[in-house]
Amino acid sequence: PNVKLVTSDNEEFVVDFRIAKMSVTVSRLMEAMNMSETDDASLLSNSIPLPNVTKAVMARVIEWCEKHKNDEPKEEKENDKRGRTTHVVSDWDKEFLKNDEFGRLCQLMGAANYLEIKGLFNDISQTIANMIHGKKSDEIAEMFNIHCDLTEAEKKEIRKKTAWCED
Amino acid sequence: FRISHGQCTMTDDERDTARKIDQEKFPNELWVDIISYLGVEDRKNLRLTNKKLSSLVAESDLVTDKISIHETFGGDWEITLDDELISIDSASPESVNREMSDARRFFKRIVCQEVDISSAQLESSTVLDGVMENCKYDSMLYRIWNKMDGQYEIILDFLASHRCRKLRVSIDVSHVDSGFLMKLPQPADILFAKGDQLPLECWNGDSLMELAKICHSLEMPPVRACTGQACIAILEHIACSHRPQWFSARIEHAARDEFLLSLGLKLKKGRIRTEKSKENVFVYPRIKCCSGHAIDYRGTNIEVSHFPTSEGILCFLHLSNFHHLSEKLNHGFRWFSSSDLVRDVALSQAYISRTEDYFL
Repeated sequence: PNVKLVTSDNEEFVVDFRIAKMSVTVSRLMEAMNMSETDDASLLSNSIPLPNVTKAVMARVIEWCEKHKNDEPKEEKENDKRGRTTHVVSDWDKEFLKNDEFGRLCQLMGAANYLEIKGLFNDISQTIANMIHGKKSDEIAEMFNIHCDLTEAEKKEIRKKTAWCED
Repeated sequence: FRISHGQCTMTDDERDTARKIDQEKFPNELWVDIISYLGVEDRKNLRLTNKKLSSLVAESDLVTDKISIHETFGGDWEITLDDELISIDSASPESVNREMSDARRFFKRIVCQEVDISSAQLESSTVLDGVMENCKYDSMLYRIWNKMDGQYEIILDFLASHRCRKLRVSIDVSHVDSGFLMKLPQPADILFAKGDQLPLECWNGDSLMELAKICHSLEMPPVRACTGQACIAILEHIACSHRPQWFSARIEHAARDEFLLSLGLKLKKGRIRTEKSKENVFVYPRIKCCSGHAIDYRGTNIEVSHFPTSEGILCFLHLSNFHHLSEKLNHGFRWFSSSDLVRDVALSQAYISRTEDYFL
């Protein structure tokens, strides 16, 4: 069975039921609209509006979901974060995300957050963190288009207070 | 529109958006999550980019595996936080507050697996409380490797007010007696450091048994305390325990033989060779009698192996009950799947093999 998803720019995506269920948000909406896997009529007559996701971003989300639709479900527990080093982004996911500009990654991350697709969200979060890792502040600012509103005096103060972690 | 594997065209406007994003519109909670993956050095550089990120860094969690807190012989303190060393020259409250308030510019809360505390003289010290404020941790390792006259009650108070899911206490048996461990506020994994050295007089089979009775797990207790009878008593206790519990010890050959004989077992030196050439694997089919609860027996694993030590060849004995194994399985360990071994396990509910044979 297929489910229709409609993006903010009125693009309709027809996706497999399993893929739709990978989003907690879509799952909840389907439930609220009495759409079930066994009821084709309910699936055909309804579409899920996703006003916070554009078609370009939705296409990327669906591509990621297609790849991961057969993954074993991971039980994410509240206190289960095991430290940065243990979050591994798979090779396929690295490849999938590597050509996205920061802006696109942010949009994708926003969509993953809105759609509640935990695996994609964590992948992007880790990927952006990896992009920041080892960069100087001006490099980070340039890469992420961050306007620096700190005065030299404020920067000096920050450096002074963080001297304990200097190499 | 039907999506087909990533084929989607972008307009020039979209490309431009993809290149740049207005930072003001990027939700703070997403930044906070990204920052949680960054170490202290990266956080410092991010703080220097602008005011918003500087304040978000201070609001974020620092997720790390471990915090180590160590008091040096000179009375100074060394705190290792996410691979960064914070040295505190004295234990005065002012010094601690100053250093920790600087460190806290990088995080609001620490989320870590383990807090590792060693050689800490707690008297009149606010270091531990200062570091552990707003710290969420899963387990604590408290090392007592020095003589701590007058400190033991304070340590117990500290542990009672910092309960955690898993407590591990590492002790030097020549400085810490069993009476202290009997008063621990929660069941703990007790790691005996220097167990091969001359321990305090209190360490004997009875004292180990007393500790097992209040659900502590024991690792490498003094060799001389691990008699065959002591091992049997501990086995019988942990087999019936409702909590995850285990006992790992170096024992002498005589103690091993006494232990096995007490179970009504004959040493059957049949070797099971697997595809990984595991050696010294012994299976004792009648092990189910060991607990005296043959029908409702909750499986207890018994492992015996040999290993060389400075005192010559000793045996290694490891006993762990069903709850402990379940806990390990829940943390991603897989059961050894050799069909021979599994069949024997099914028959006997227990088996003897080298430790590493159990989990791959």
